[in-house]
Amino acid sequence: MPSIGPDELGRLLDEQGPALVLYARQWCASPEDVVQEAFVQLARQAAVPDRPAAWLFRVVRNGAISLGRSSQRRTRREQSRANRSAPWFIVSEADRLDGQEVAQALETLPAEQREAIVARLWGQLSFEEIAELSGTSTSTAHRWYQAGLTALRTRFNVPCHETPARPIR
Amino acid sequence: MPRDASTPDPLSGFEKQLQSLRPTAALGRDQLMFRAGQASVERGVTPRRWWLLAATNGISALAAGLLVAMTMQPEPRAEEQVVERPAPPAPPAPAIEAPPVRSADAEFGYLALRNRAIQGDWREPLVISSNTGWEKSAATPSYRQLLEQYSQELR
Repeated sequence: MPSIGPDELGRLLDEQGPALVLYARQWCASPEDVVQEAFVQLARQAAVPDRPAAWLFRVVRNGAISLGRSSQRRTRREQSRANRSAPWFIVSEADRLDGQEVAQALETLPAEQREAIVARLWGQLSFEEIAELSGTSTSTAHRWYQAGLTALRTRFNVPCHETPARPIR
Repeated sequence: MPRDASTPDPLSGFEKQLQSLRPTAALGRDQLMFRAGQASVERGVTPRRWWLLAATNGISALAAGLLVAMTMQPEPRAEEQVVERPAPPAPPAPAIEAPPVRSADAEFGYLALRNRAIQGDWREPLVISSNTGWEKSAATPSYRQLLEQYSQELR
């Protein structure tokens, strides 16, 4: 398979870039750098991976964890401050959920549940791909996702399989 | 029972609402595409190829240098060196002729007296001359004469 072209790279950047940044934000304070480096690595590949999105998520995960560890060694306080200052979602009046509240709710979730929800909802990865990312089984990845989703529903008072009764602001 | 990964369930309303939130991403698209383009070009020359290229260039330069050094040897240059040679034996000094000795000096001079003393020539007594220091004892009586003269006076 030939290397990736600029059109395909641009399409992946538009589709997966924000989700990858949100995914990397769980581990490091400068997720954009990690995502950019992942795309550069993808362009350097001699052949396009079978599933470029999953490949990008794996590279971003490894890079973000590595960067997060080195950042923790330097200044943990500055990192947490930067995490708080950077909004996770674009604020829009049309959204029925408040992005900041969702971000705070996501932060309270256990890391594996948060990772599964971000990869599933915004990265649109399958549970099989999420399981490969996390190094676990598909059933475990699905369980993490369901547990995290239940916790978010509880926080936002949303019953199962129902939309919230009122917009949460 | 977990769902099949290949056929995921449709998202619920709450999931769709969550999904509708757009994550922030301050990605510099132009910069990213530029770096990706650079990376795709660099991919053509792998580090191993760089290494081979550098090694080939180095060996070629070394061979060319050796060739030039062997073909363009400098002409032998006369070197000046200071060699300490032993000085040749000096020629014998010319004999200095002694100045002519006066007759008195020849007979009664210091050298003549010294030679006589060395040779034990005491046949004649030494007389000190007022001028030369030593004179022949022609006028001076010998011991025997003095003895006979003294014995005659005693008689």
